[in-house]
Amino acid sequence: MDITLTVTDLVKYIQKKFNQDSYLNSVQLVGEVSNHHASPAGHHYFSLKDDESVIKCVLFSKGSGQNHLIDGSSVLANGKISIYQARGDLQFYADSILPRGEGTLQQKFDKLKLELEAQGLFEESRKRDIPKIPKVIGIVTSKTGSVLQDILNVMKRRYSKIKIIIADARVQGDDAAESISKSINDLNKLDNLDLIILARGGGSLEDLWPFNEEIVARSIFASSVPIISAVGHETDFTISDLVSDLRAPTPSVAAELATPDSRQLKEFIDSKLNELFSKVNLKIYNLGNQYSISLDRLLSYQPNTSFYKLKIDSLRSSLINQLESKITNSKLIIQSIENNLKHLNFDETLSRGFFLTSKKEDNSLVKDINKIKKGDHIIISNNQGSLQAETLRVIKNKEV
Amino acid sequence: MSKNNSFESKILELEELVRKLEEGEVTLEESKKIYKEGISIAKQCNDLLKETELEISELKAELDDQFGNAE
Repeated sequence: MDITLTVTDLVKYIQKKFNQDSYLNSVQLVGEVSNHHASPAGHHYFSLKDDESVIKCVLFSKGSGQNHLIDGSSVLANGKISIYQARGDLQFYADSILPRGEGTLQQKFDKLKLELEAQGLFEESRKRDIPKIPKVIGIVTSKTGSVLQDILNVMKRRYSKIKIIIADARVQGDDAAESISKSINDLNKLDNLDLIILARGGGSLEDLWPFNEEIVARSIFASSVPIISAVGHETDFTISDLVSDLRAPTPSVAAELATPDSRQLKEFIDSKLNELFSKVNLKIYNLGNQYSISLDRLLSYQPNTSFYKLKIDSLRSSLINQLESKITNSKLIIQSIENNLKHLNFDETLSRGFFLTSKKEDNSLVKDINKIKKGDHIIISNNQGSLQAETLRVIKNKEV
Repeated sequence: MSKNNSFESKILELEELVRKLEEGEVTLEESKKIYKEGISIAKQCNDLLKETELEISELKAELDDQFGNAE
């Protein structure tokens, strides 16, 4: 066996062997479609798989049943086995694809998704906000999985003051859906819980299947606290993701979404406090201004007593003037009375040479010459003294 | 007159008193009474302002303390 072959020789030889085998030239193959993609030329490339094996397949553009090529669906493919010479790959060349009844996982998924969607389980409007600073978080996952450790590490790093309640659940296998559902329901019996994280690491569609079961979807829907779902890798979408309030691409991201970063939180609080204080100070400043303006106006209306003072002064001086003129008048009156009185003072008259005559018998002043007759004793007096006399004769003026 | 104790209502009271004085149709006795009341309200306003300022600055200091020493 020392024949030297080129690669092409070898591939062509193997190809010939396959083409000569009548069994392999007409095969009905049953399997689940995966990795399906179509080329721009209209050829379809995909894999068919079962629990243990996988084979690459192609359906050229002229082949039939192209619409049955949906990832996850189970199909019956007719065709032959050969080698793709350019790559030396073993390939199944299908010329027709037929669906293989109900019951594949993908079909179950699609059916349940449609049902639950119609019932409003995926409604955006019912999705609740994730609390910004939760105090108690429940985690539904396997107690023994590395996922739990990932979540705990992230949470510890970001926000250590959080209480975590782990609700152990089987996340794979026949009774996993019931187990997950029960854990969600149990956590909901706690009255101080703020949030639930539903988590599982990556796996095949079959591995993640419990998270596509209706019982889990119902429990998530019924949960009284928000749920973050983090099942598998970023490319895996489950029913649980659709019902949950928030989908995280991975469990670690779920942990980040569930917990505030204490440093950022502190900065946030700081900035809010500063905002608060500057607003309060501005408010006080404005009120102070308003107050100053009002006070200034009030002070400008301080009761004006100087006006009243002037008025009182003028009243007082006019009062004094009145009094003074009254007094002056009175003085004048008194003066004139005095003058009048002076005229009546007979001393002065007497000093001018006049004498008063009175009767001696009764000392009465003689005002009427007819009261005196010859022989009457009279007293003639002035301010210097008096004369006693006897009337010798009464001489009357003509008209008396 | 309203017995509301808020700063804003006191300022309103003050404004109302000033308006009365502005109208000028008041006797000396009345204007003295109004002015006296105005000064009393102004004092209360001032007290409220000072009190609030003090409380705010105390709060700020308290928080600065707490946050400065945290962790």
